[in-house]
Amino acid sequence: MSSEKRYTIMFVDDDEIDQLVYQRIVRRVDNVSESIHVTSAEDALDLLKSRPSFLPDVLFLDINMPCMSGLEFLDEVSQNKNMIKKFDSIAVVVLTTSIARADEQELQKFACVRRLESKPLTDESLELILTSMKRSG
Amino acid sequence: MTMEAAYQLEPGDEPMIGARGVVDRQGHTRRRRGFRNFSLRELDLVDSEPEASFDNLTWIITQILNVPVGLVSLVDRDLDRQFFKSQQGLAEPWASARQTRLTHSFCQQVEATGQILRVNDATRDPRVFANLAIPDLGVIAYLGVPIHDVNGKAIGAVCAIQGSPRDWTDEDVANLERIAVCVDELIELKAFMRTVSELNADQKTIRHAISHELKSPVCALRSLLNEIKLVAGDGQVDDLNKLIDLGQQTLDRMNTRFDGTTSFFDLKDQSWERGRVSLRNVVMDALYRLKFSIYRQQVLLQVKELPSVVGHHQPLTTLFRCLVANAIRYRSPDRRPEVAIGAKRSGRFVEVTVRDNGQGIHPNVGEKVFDAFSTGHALSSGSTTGLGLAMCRHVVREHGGEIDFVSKPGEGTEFSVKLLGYSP
Repeated sequence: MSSEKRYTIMFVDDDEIDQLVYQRIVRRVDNVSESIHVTSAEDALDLLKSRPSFLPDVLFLDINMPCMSGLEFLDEVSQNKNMIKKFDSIAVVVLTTSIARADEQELQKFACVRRLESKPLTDESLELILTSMKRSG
Repeated sequence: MTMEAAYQLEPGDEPMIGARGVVDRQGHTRRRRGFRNFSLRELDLVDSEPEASFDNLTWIITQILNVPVGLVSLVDRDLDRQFFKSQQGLAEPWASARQTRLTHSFCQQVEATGQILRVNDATRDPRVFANLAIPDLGVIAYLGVPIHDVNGKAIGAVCAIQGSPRDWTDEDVANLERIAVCVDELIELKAFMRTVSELNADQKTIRHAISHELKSPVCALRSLLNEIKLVAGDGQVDDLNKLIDLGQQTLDRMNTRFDGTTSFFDLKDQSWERGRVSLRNVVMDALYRLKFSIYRQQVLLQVKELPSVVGHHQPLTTLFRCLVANAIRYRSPDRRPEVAIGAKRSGRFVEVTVRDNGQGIHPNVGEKVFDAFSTGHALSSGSTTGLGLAMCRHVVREHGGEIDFVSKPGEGTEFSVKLLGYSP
């Protein structure tokens, strides 16, 4: 595993317990080189905008967040030229407790959304997601 | 007729409000329905467009009582006005304004007293002779009957008006009372409609709460237990691990219930185009979705010839998947599970049976087995939604069919589903 590509991943989720668990999972999974954890979609946007060189491979996005939801985040991203370009190389994995039919249709609009993953995230599902990213390049 | 007699209040006009409900003047009882108190605005009775149902009634007033003006007036004391939900024959500007101040209202007296107001000649009637409706609207003869909210409180009047004196007869009063009852019922209907839409909104909120707000702490707790298990997992704390496992299983069960509840309501929300459906395809699809548990439990399957029915593939697949899943879930521990699916024609209908050799359903359960969260088995056993058969009954009803079962505890159960057969 150690010779394989190592990923920079980012978690956008307002639930602090979920974030704590993500941090612990990431420590156990060996093909992650760096993980960034932010607790609001606004903070995530600021970070992506203010640091042009910052380019995570995978962005895990919670849908249900106060203020800006995951869907609103994706809307915002898809209306900003620089962001569109940036998200060409960022794979978004949407994390949610349950996928409402309407949300699922909404999400299909966004090319950067590669996958819907239901919570809770586990070591196995994170490994599986990263492996599949590798396959699809 | 003396002036005294002309404006005598009618005795016993007030509707009687008893424990069972409101008894109207014709002796009909209207049941108390436990509505909350709606405002006039919430029921679209003020500041709303005219509606045919009310306009028809005021038109009937003008025809039956032979008067130029008929009104449905709602008294809105907070805004010092009466609003005409319906009016026939008023002159401008009143016809367009559809409201007057209470200084111009006879109906407010009907609302205040809850009693019929019978004015033969307003100019000579001390109760109303100062009312500005006389000079400004030309009201001379007035007959008003109270109309009520859903809790029996007077909120306005239906009235008949003419510009010259008239001795209202008892028959006039009786006719107008009948129309007032119709208006009361229209108001009640509005309260029903309002209640239904409020319940629908509540239900949406609850569903959202279930699928997000309630699920996310469950998910978080499950992850936390997993982390605790990893911290504890050094081989010396078997008990702790066992307890954590139990905790996680409990949370999984909770999740299953949440998912089941939301998908139950999702299913109820949907409507389907009905057409020809091959039952064979439906059953095969249902079995395919259960392939893992069929394989794991080594279920002996028997599927006989199945005809086409009128319906929709997807909900019927859900129906048969649920019936077969139940047959497997409630298998007998003593023998290899068997499930047989067959069908026979009976008239226009096709009766499909799903028979198993499982535990059976206790006779006490009966029809209740189809109710939500009332399985014949302890709900805590295994991970079930508690909604499967409720969902089945819904699907069958939507198809205009019937579902029933016969069961012998310890021997097995046979569910039968009657569906409309397809005939080309």
